[in-house]
Amino acid sequence: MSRIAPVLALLLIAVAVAAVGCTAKQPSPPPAAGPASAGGPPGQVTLTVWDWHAADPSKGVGLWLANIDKTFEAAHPGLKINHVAQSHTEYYEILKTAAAAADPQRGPDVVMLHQGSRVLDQRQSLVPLDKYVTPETRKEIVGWELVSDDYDATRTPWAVPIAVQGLVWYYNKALLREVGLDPEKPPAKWGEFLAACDALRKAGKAGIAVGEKEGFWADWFLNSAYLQTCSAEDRPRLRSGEMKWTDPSLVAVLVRLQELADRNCFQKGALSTPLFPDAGEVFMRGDAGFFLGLISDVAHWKEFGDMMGAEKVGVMTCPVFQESPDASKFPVGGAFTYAITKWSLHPSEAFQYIAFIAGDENARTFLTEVGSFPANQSFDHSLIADPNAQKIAQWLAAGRTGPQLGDMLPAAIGEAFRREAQSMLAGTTTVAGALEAVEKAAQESRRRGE
Amino acid sequence: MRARRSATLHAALFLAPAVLLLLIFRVVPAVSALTHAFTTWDGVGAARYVGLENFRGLLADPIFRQALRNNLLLVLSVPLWIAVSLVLALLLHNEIPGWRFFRGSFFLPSVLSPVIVGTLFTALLRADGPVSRGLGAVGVPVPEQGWLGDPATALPTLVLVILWSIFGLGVIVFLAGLAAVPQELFDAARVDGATGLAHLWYVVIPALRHVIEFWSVNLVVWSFTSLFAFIYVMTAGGPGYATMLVEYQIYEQAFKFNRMGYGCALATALLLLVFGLVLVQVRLMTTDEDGA
Repeated sequence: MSRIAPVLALLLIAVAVAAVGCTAKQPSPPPAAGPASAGGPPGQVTLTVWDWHAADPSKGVGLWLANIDKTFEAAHPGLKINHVAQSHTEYYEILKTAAAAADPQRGPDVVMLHQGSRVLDQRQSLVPLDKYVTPETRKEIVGWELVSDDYDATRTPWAVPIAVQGLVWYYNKALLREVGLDPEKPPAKWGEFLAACDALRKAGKAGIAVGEKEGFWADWFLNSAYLQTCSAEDRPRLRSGEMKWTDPSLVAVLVRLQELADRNCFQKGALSTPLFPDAGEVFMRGDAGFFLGLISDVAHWKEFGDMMGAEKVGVMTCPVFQESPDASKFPVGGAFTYAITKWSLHPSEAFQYIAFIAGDENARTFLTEVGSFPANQSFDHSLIADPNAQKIAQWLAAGRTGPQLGDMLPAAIGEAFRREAQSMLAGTTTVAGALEAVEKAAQESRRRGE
Repeated sequence: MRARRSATLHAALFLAPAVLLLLIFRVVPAVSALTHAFTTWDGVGAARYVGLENFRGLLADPIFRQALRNNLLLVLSVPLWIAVSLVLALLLHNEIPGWRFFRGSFFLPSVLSPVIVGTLFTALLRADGPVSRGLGAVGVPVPEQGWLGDPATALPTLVLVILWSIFGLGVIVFLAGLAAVPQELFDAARVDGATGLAHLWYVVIPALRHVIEFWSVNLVVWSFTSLFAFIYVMTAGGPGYATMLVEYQIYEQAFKFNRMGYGCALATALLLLVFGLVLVQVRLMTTDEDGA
């Protein structure tokens, strides 16, 4: 018994510690005073930043951010940046766990978020930025409507847009030339586009490199093509339920998507091909003529230009199947932003950091070093050397842009659309069946107040 | 009296860590999920009590029905998973040539993480992967969209991949069972002329009855609760909902759509379903045993 007693005592202590750990759900109260974070020298504030780009600080956005951190720390001696890379795939799940813990000592102060519903869904974990965002900042940066209440750029913003994202069609000039087409005049009309896909298939190539394993490609196609059939007012109407997913304007888009599948425009196995990086590689290998890609970060003009040679890559907007005022526009939105967490003990310093990232100098390097379009539009357009990037910049400057449909939709509706589109392309449902199912998912989402 | 108290204390001491872990990681989350199943909750803010609304929604949810159907199809494949392991265990038990090598290699897939197995087979089963190319070369029709990209072949393919991943564990379980059966029983059966299927049906299966029962209960529970990693890596429940399972739907609802309350209701339904199935399974086995 005498030997058991100390062991028992230790065990009881362990139980007590575990029990305290389990019940300590609420965040510990913030320190009464002083800006210093735990672990740092006295007076130093450490800002913890979460994002999905910092994983590889040797290139691209990761390198750009690593350099920004160094410059920021040098310019702000009392501030230290602790940049933590999180998995992109599970990012929002991890963020939810952090939000549930709301731990100011270990949780992030600054978080990267996608524009649109991803920002607005997290509002209860974020700091409203009204008092931080100046009118000058509002003027310089585009995309406020996708980070503000009710998707209204004049209302409370919850994040600062950093990048501009958009969907454009890239094409392989050499392949187009091979099948007798003029690479300087890519197919602008739907019929011409289908004919080009037919010609490519006859030449042993695929028309379009498609990665539909996750359903994202169909989502991108919808966003790329809906501007031809829907007006600017339709987007909020679709969100509110005033416009149904079975509306003829959306049916028309899905009919075109189905037509592409029926005409064998995709490479073999498109439904089991991941969009990143496999579908992009199909295009870069020269196995397909067209690729519906992005303008920033990845699967974009810089990646394709670096790999294939910029002179061999062309860029165009979605081929037109229905004339409309917005038919020649391309959708913009869905890029990344930075926001401040509600539990941060240093929101002012956190905004200082975000404003630094979004500043003019970093906007310039974002374009010249990363090859991505910054949300801060104060950059010098003459810095753009790539011909495709020049074209995209011209379209951006000329306002040949429309909003992305998906940015305003709750995650459950987007997922329903992606899965139904997969089923449709696999032949297990029809255009009408797919859209009816999405409409039901939308009704359920609204019923839940999402 | 003192010795008895000491023994009780010892037992409590040894049990305490396991009980503690069970409480923290199983009982507390299960109770929490059960209580949140009656709420609408996004996982961060305050939960709001909604009574049975989540369960009513679940009954009307076509995706839940599809996921349940897929789960039940997986359960139907349990006899196949058992049969393959049992036959291979018998071959090893009879020391076929190279049995030592096979014993080791059969077990190898079981020690691989489902993520590794999933990634490996995703590459192998692509439309332009070696499986399709190989079968295509000998004239076997292969799905245009790849084995995991075609709704007709995705779930059966998944069954076979899971079989590959776990059959080794079943072999080990059955080998252990066979080792416990007295050799005289097999010898006597052989003298009586029992060979082939008769030997399997009238001698081996009755002798391994309790092991088969144990393994089948395990597999049924496992098919409902432990395939998430395979689905996540290989198909994400697609194409469409062709490989959607209830456990994957719980993940989507709770973590992708922020519908934690509904996710908890799904988890509660799954728990009750698996518990009910196992109860029926055990009841059937014991009834049969009593009657025998």
